[in-house]
Amino acid sequence: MLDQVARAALAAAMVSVSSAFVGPGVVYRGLSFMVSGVAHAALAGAALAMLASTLTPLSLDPAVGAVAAGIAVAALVSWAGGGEGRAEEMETAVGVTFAGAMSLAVLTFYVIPSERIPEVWGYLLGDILLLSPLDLIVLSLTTAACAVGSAAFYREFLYVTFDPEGAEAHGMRPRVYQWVHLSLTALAVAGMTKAVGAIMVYALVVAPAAAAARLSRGVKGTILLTFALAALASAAGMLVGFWADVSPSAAAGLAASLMYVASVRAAGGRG
Amino acid sequence: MEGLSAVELEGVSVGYDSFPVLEGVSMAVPHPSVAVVMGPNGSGKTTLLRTLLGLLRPMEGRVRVLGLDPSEDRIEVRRMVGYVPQRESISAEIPLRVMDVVLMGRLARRRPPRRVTPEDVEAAERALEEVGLPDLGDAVFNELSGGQRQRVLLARALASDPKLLLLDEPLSATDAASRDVIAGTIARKRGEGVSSIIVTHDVNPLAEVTDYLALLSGGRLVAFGRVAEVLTPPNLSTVYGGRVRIFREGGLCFAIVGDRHG
Repeated sequence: MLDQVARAALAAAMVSVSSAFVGPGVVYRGLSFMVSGVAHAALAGAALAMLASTLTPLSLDPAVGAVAAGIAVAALVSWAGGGEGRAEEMETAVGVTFAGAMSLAVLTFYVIPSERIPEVWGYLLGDILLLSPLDLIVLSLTTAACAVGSAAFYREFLYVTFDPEGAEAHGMRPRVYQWVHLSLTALAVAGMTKAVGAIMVYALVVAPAAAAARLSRGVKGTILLTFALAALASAAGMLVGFWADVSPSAAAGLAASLMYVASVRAAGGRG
Repeated sequence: MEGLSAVELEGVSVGYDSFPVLEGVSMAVPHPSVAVVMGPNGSGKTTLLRTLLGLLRPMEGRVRVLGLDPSEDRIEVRRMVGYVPQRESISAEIPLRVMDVVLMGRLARRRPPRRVTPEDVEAAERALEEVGLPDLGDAVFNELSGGQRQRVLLARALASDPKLLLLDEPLSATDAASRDVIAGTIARKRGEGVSSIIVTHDVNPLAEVTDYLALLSGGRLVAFGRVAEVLTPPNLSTVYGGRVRIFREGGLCFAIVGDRHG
């Protein structure tokens, strides 16, 4: 039990780190729906990995399929947005991907063994207390990649989000950095999905960042505050989960959502 | 750079997906000088600037920016050019500090890692002083007034010590004080050997600093030359239609373009 709790606490810490690096970026870009799109694509990727394992001699772990599907969504969304990163086009691509991924996941249910179907649905709701060592390794790797990549290209990501045309005129390649930024975002979200679920990952990534963006006046302040709020929501979720014997992910998602509502009130409803 | 043209176009046609937006444009702006490009929406003004930056490759014709081909010598050209984009293309969501915006003018030109040096900070502070905003380095860009934002974007363009400024609607949503500062800075930079190509709807606030005027309509160059030669009722009627009145005051020309109602 202690081992399980320690694993969950470690996963919650990594989810908070990923939220801090990913959340502000998607909120600034007006692309928060991408988090949901990637998470549901991760679910489809997990289902496809199971399908491949069923139909071929390959033995693919669902987590690998989830991460691969997340990267594919990032590539599609980045391509749809063009060099200028048009948020409207990207949101449309996310919506189409969302629907397509869920359709694909449901279709795989007709082929994969029925006893594995609950495992796919596990990606929808997540369970931070049931993470396998491999799940934890995948989450560690995606969190590390996201943190290192975001720190290394901090200015690049800021510039292409703030002023893609100006960045290109100054000699940068916004399309490349945009793709790298969205890929790191997708990687982190796909890694988190098994732990917190495709539905709740939106609350844990977007709600703390949106709240932090309202309460902070700088980019670095927003990143730090996002981490603090995501960690607080995760800790609250786990405590409530143990105390009331309910899903920790759902409790954390609710806590994060309430934080956002409180931030709107604190900021006086300003946008 | 004596005797060199700031920009030179010979029979230039540019388009998107082979649909021409600029057709057969030829003009040469001496260096250093200030040239204004005017025309109604969709006349090809921004396309012209994007072509000079090397972001668009001409379908036909020859482009030279300070003697270089912006499509071929992209890196060298961008090193010498400071660009002020239309403010609408800039995100209103990111709370970037003014100093970070100005530093972008230097750091975006380098390869990663784009570390800030004391020289970068010095140049950025100097550029903010040039546009009359020396104390706003720590302010949040998106919390500034329209005129202050345009001045910060001009400071960003100046921070890299350019030889040529390309400005897309630098006076939009600005107050009179900011218009004066922007026009004054452009004139001062010309004295220091920096040319400016300015796309605008309204030449009047820049009348005192403009050397050359280009009128575009439907992607074609209607007229190019000294302001007094170009700013004539027939030329403006061709470009804008409707009624046009020209006022001359102290050797300067001002235009009022529009229909008379009632």
